[in-house]
Amino acid sequence: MTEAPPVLTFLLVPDASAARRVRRLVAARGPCSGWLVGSWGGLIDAVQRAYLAPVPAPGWPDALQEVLAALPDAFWARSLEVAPIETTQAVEAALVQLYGAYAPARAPDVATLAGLPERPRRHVRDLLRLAESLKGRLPEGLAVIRDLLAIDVSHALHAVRVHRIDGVPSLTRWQEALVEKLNRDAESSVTAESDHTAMEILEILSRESPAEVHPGALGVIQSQLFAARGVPAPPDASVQWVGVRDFLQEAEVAAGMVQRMLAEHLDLRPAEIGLLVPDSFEYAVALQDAFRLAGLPLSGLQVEHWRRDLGREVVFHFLYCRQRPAPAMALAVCLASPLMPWSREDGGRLAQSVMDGDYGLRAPAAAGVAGQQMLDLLRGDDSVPSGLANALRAFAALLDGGERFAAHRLQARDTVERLCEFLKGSIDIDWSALRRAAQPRFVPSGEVPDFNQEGVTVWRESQETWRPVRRLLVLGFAQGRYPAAPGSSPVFSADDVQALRDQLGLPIPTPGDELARRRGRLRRQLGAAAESVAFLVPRRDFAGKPQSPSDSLVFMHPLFTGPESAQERVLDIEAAELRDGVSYLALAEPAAPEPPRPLTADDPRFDRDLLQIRTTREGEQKPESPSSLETLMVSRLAWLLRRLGAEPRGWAPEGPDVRLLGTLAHEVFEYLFRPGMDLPELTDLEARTLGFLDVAIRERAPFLMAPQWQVERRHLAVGMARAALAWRNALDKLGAEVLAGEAWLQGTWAGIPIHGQADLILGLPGDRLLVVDYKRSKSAKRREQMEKGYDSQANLYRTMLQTGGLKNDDQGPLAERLRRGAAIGTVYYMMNDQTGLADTALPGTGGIPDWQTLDNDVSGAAMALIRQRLDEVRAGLLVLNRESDAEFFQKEAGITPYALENSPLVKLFTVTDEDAGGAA
Amino acid sequence: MSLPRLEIIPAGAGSGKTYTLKERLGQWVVAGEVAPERILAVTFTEAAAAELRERIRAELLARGRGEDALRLDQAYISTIHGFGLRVLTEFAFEAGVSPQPRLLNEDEQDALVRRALTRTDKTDPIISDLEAYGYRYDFNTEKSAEEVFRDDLLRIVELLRSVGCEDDADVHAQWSSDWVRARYGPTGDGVRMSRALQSSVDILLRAFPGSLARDCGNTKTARKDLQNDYRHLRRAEDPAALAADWRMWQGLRKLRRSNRATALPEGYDALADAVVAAADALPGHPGPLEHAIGHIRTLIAAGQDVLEHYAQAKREAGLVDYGDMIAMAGRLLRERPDVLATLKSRIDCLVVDEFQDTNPLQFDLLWQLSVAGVPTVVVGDLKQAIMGFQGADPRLLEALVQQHRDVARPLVNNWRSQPRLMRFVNALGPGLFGGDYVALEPKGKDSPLHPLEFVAFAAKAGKDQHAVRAAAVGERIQALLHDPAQQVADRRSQRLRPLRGGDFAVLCPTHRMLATYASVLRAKGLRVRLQAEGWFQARPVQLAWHALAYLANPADRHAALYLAVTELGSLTLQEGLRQLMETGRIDEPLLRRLDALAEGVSERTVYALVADTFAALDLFDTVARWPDAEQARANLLRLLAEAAEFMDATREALAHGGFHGAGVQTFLAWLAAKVKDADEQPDPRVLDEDAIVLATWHSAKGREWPLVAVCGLDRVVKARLPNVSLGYPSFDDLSGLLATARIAYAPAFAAPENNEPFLAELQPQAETEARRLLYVALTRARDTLLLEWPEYLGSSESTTYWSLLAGDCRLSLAEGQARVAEELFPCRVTPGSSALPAGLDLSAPVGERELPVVGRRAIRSGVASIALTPDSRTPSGLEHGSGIGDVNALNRERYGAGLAEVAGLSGVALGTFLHRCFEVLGARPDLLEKLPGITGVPVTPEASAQIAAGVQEFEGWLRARFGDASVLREWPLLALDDRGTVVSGTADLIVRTTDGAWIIDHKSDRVEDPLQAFLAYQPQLEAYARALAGEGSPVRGIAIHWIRRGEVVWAPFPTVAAESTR
Ligand code: SF4
Repeated sequence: MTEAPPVLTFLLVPDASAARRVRRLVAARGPCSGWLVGSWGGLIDAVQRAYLAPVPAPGWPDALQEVLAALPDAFWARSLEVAPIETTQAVEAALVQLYGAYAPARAPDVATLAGLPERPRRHVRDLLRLAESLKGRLPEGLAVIRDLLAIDVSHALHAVRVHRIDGVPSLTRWQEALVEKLNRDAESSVTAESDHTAMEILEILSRESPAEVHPGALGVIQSQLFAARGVPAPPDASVQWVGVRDFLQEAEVAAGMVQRMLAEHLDLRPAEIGLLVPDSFEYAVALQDAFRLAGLPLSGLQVEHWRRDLGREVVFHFLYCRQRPAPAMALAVCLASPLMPWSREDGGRLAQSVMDGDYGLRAPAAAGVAGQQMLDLLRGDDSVPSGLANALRAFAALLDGGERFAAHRLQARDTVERLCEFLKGSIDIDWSALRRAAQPRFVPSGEVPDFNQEGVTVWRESQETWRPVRRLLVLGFAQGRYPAAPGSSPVFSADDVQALRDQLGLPIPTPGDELARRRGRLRRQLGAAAESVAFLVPRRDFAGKPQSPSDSLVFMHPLFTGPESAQERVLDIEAAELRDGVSYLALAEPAAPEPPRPLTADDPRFDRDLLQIRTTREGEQKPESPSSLETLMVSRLAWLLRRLGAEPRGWAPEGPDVRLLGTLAHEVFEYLFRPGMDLPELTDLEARTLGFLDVAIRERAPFLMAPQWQVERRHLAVGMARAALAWRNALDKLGAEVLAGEAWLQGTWAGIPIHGQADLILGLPGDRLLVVDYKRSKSAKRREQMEKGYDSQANLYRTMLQTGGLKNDDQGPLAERLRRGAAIGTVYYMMNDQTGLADTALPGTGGIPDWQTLDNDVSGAAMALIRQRLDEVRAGLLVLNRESDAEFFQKEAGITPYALENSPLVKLFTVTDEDAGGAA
Repeated sequence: MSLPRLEIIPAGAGSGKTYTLKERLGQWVVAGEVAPERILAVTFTEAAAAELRERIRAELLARGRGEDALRLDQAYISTIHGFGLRVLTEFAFEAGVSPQPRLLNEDEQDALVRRALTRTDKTDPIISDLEAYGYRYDFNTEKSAEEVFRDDLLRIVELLRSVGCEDDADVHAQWSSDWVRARYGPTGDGVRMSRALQSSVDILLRAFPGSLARDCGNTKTARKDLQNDYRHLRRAEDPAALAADWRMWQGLRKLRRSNRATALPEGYDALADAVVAAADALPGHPGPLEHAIGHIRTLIAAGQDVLEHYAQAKREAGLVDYGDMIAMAGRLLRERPDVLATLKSRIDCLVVDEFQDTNPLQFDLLWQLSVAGVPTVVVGDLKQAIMGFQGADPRLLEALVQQHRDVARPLVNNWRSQPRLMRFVNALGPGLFGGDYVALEPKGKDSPLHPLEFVAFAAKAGKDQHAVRAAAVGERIQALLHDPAQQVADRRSQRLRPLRGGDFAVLCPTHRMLATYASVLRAKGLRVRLQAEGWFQARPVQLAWHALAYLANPADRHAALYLAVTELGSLTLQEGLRQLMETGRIDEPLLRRLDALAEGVSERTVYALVADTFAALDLFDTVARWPDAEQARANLLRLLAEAAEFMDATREALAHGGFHGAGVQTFLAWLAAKVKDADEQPDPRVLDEDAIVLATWHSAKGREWPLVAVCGLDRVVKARLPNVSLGYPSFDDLSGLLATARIAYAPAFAAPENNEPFLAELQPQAETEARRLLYVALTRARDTLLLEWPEYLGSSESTTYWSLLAGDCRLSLAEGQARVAEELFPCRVTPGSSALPAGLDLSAPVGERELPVVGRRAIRSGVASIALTPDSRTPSGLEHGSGIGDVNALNRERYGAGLAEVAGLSGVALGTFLHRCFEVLGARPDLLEKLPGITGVPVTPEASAQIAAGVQEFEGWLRARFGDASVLREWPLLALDDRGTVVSGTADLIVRTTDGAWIIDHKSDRVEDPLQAFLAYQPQLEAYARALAGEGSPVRGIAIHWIRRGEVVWAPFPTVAAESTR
């Protein structure tokens, strides 16, 4: 085979959207073969195939980073240390820019730099040093071109003849060189006729103003925007600017406008209406939604559906789990991952129990050995790289998820392999580097836009038109768009670029050039409309913050006669008078609002005893605890929801919340004051308190060990030591003997079984007993509650002692001692101000600084109220809360009614006092 | 013309400073003094920057400078933070930071500060006893003592950063200590004082060892007092407390003694007197002073450490906060003269708007440029310096003006208010600002509206005083609205028209007061707009929230019940509860709609799930009919925005807050935490012509309305402790200001006497700021200023906004006239009641009477009915399309054994690879060696040989079959089909024989029945054939080469089937 290779004709266009348009133009002239249409990327692909170019070797970014680091005196050195990825990107972009501006054959010469100002000179010099150190390796885009330039056409399957319009797209010198080479290679077979055809077609695409300029205002914009200005023309309905609130309303208004346009112009087809939309996914989702509602098909809408990166995600969080202290939510995320070797339901359950503070996980039975192994892995930790590598591999091996998640599983395994590779050489575990390497990203779902012939034509701000239209709606005409401003480079500022151009003659585009290019595209986009264009101006951004119209509005404004300022061109649809001026604005019939279904708060009645909802296996009613009875007192609905297992659930990061701190404090006191042991010595009390606190934290709240909780830990410790000291002295003064700590008691009250765990039971001289309840708060509120007679808890413990006793050990000496108790007193020990609040006068308390005895009936009112509630629920009546309840409990009962906050349903179904005909 | 080095433009309210600026810049550009892209203009807000840019651009366009208007894009016109960030990114390498720094969020800041804290032990004395240093749970902010402490420390860190960290901490600590000491007053012998107190307490307790509360507490207060007294007495026994607990000391100064209501036991009073006498030494005790100094020293020392570690942590993570943008840019300019020079060369002039609002760091950054020689124009108004709470320091502008009086060019006109109103403001000016006040020449248009109105309150309301005043103001506004004779000039048309709600603004000093005014005005049937809290609790948000909770965890019974029994569900509460009782689950159609989304829950993004949930519940459509449709819609939209923000947030940022994962549950947890600080309901509309605007005095700055009611003048103006601010020894050297700035920490002492000197120093500052705030509020009106006039305050001692007007400005009312000093102004005075009008129901629900006519409701719902035709397709997309055809019409020819197996290769990769091999080697058998490079697939020599043989066999067959016809490989085809769809594809082989072409495709599939398999590909081949035929070359046949089988299956073209489908 010695003949010259056949020649392909390639029409080079700026982007895929333009390619689509050109392909149709070509095909419309009749079928043809040997023609390709595409953007630069498409050209490179085609040429690589045609010229049988070798596949470029991988590993460029790593190589670059290495070389960057090897030049410690270069301008990027300090930034590279702190931000390797961003710095590498910026330097690479500059290298491409600089190198691309030299002709490929011409090696840049350091000697020519002398005329440059200091900053760009230094930067160019360092970049050239970088290029040298790269020893011939080049950024991928350049390397490809260099390789292709070196291939002789005689080695190619095809030659490629490239047609393009200068500037659309604009090319770098390297790109130009490649195009020249290709066209030289293809020279032999060029025919004038096909060249002519190609150019004629491309010409259509590249025109900034259409061949036939609209006679009215639209034509003025199409021909004069951003250009030298003539005499202002009168505005007309072919151009309008419409102010709406936000992107969703834009989509809605656009749908309504399209409907009206179609209704009023019977010859207009949906495809002849265009929507030019910003490149952001919220517009896509909103358009889809509004046009679906309107029953209008769309064509070309890019709905970017991203998927979560479940594979990396689970590995990423596994890393968190293996680093002590492991955050509970990371563990929950792993447990709930669909890649776990158990069902989604089981995973959800395990995750929720962790979020509820319960780490005693049991593997679901169905998961078998794998389940248990996985749980062990998730709860283990690592200190050496090899151990972590093993754990990672074991973890990856256990991942499941079935066929449906196979791709994610694969991704997880790949990631694990990468991490293990990384760990191989390391001495320590660099957790954050590992996490960076396993960082999940969103993965595209691979859905392609539906381009059809009938639907309303959609294209994006960053794209050329793919189909001309008669009427155009431009969405998102707000600041920062139409056109978007190019970013600035940290390597070469606009001035630096200018210097490079002036001094070295390098054709590097300035940000101004880039902006001009984008303005050109905007003009071409507007040129694609034949009859009208409407700009929709969103006045609020996504988050509801005000935003200004696109800067281009100011350029459009002086083209027309009329109002004084550009702002006044915009007709806001919220203003009745302006709205009337908007053509095709769809209006709804005036209508009165329809209130949603009213939530009627009637006290529900059930024909059953609500106490019987929860029963033991033997069918007996389960006992109530003092706290549950207090909930019942405050809100019967809250109480019932708890019984039904229908309280709000959710996730929250672990933190030192009131409940957790209370638990820790209780535990410390349990260790400190034990039955059968002497009171701790004063000398080592503090040390022991802190020691026990550490143990409790390790067990219950390992996260508190993390350094960021240092202040909290310290504050807690100081408070605990203070509370322990005062309590120890109080016990000493009382002559108390610790009989039991955290003892389960049971009894009956008001005809129902009750039970609960008493914090401490003390024996006092004279066979007196004292039931102690620790509270990690201050005394003021509790005292008020007691003074008002609304304290039920301590009294219920007393009742348990009186009517039952110990729950488990019913016969032992302790039980006997409790039975013998002559008088039973109760006291709250308020740790935060070290105050004892007792309901019974006791000898010996006079010398205790903060011991207060209340001499009223501290629980009478509460017990009566609870009794009444019990009667109701027994009869199946669920009385809802009344509006006045909150105030009643606050003011009359001295209780902060937290139970009202247990579920939002409690507040929603609160009966107004008028309806209730008086307070509860 | 050349530019002035420095020009200062004091610009009073409504004096047209933006107009002046754009004029000036326009002239300079036209004169060639300034290149548009070299303008650096710094404004206070993004919106102001956008406006300034627009105005300058419009000016340039109006002057026929189109090119210049385009170049303005490159100009630095932004907020000061935007400028700082730009410097930092454009000079990232010089600064040694990430070229793409990321703004850190609050969680990250919190986490990094926490971490920095662990690296210093200097805070130990404080964190060992937070309470002793006044750190306790704050009920207002719901912050724990630890958090309050960290906030305090962070404040010090910020200040230390502003004053530059070159100095070591001791200098600052020393200065701050001296500062406090100098004001504290003389101290005595602390040991003696303490001992005296101790012994008097001992004596008392020996006589009365128990609390008197039980026996003598005959009233509630008596009981409480006696309890506290006892507690304090007991505490005083503890030597440690005696030496540190100054609140206890202060408590003992107020020991209760017998009075008319309560008699205490005999002998107690005398002993108590002795204790009080001893405790009264407190103000002269050196203890509190030392304690306070210790506190400040600790904070400063620790702050210095934290500052360092925190900065380091941020740098390593590529994070910056708003302060960094300024501070780092400022430091960069100071430390790198080359950067300053470069930057200077890029800037022709510097314009600073609202200069009075700059803080020291910002000042330093900008001033460096000015000193470096960039011509500078400074616009500002001391009278409107009200951003002190954000760290703004108007003393800077003050000093600047004083040092450069010669370059001050004050604006002297007012374009905003009608002349009669402006004259009133001018009359108040000297009272507010003394001789410095420069009257503005009224240039506004005359208005038919009355310029001045008062609602006067002769008596103070017994309760609900804000509501009472709101009712009176509302009454007056209503009367104005209903009076057709009241006409105002429309902003757009300039024509007179009746008043609308949107012409009014009601300004109050605080948000809380505004909320009251809003509810009263609403209850009176007036439309108001006020950005309110309560987003999270809004019904649509709660509904969506619970739907998401259910979606995330279908076992969540609470969420299921919630949805079933609320607005969107169909069950009553009773029914829902009954179902749960009986079956443990809820049966409800709504939930089934959500169940349909369950499939995608783990893979779909949070944004998609939120959008899906809205769609499944028809939420947007549903709320579009609700009474508060617009607010409901805006609230739902915020939920979507939150989902987007959650997705965009980086993992590190989320993890710092304890949030892990990317699913719905994590999103909900994140959001629940977020709304604690950010629960604002988004503004439902952009314009609301009928709604009265409610705004704080602060937020009214820079805005204007036709009629403005200024309310809340009864607010007390009082300095508060503790207070931290910057102190400067002098303002003489503005460039060196930061280096000399020090931290002035005015602590709050237990004894009020100790606080007095500090308050005395702070009070005048507070009053100055109050006067400025008043000025801002009073200058917002174009036509009418309506003032609440709480004249009952005449008998009050305290300084209020009212007393500033009545006293300092000598403003009083008499018989329909307002008198300011000697000047009289006709006005209208409406008397205000001191009680709420009967029948005003503040809790009555308010909703719109009519639904909006634009937006979603205006879409006619429809169903897409037409079948859609693809715009383009590739023939390979037709694969397995029809599969119809006649196997009998096919021919098969075997040419060899085929490449069923290739050594060392398998799977999908093998298929693609083989395909490519036939293409390449078919044309260029000589490239066998290069195959690995071309395909990127490593091949063993053995495999190479195998493949080469296979290709050779096939090519041999090809030549044998078609002679030396020309062969095109990988040849693109393009055509329109009969439905107008663009068909484009690539044929593997086109063989052109003299009597027509053949189209042959390589297929590497493994097939059992090649004939049947051919049918699946037939449509694709026919499409190629038609395209080729359409171009003018007749096609004779189509074929598939089954690589693995060594067999070619072919059919003549046009085939029978193809004929019939055409
Ligand atoms: S606007 Fe309100 S909250 Fe903000 S500073 Fe002013 S009064 Fe305080």
